Amino acid sequence: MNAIAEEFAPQDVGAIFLYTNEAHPGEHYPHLTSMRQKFEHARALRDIYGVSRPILVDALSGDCHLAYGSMPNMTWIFNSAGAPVYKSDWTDALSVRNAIAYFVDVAGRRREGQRLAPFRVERLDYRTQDREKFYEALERNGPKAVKEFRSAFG
Amino acid sequence: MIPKEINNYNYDAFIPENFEPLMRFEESPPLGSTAPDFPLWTLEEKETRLSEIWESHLYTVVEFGSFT
Repeated sequence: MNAIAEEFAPQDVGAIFLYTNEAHPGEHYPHLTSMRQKFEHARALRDIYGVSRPILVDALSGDCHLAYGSMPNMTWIFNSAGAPVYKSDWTDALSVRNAIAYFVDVAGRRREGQRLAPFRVERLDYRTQDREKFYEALERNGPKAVKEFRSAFG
Repeated sequence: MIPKEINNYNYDAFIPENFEPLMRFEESPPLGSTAPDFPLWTLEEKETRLSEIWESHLYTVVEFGSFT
């Protein structure tokens, strides 16, 4: 996702990471009880996972996250008027890249004078499931996070 | 004392009764209409708004997530 942000920045596409609740709290990164802790976790995300996009932190009550459906790792794309043009209940870089490339092309066609009307489309995209990498991340959260995920999903 | 709604959102254990009620993507804002705006904070703890972000670019990609 960082690479996509860099690739499309020259086309005036912005990208942020919006910090939510802890999906898999563990001993090292427990559930959130204060904004101070939420900022600390968000900075750890930047430093340990190397998120180079600007990170913005939601309220402790998760008002923004809840209003958008509160999935743990979703991606939305907004136009400059604040209308969502893409929403995905899970983040997949290929899917996001595909959508952004399409919307940048739309902007170019508009600049050329083409008259374009929006329509809705539904599509099922597919993401790679890397269980090994996922469990490595859970271990970073703490043994409790691993145990609870195994218990929920095996 | 943290209000119950905040505790429910910031659950302390990944168990279905905690996380399943939060997953309401089907009730999320529709495409094509202006979406709800909220205050957000930078890592320098300065307040901004989601609308300030989306207004500043042709398109804006927003990935939601956390460390865990």
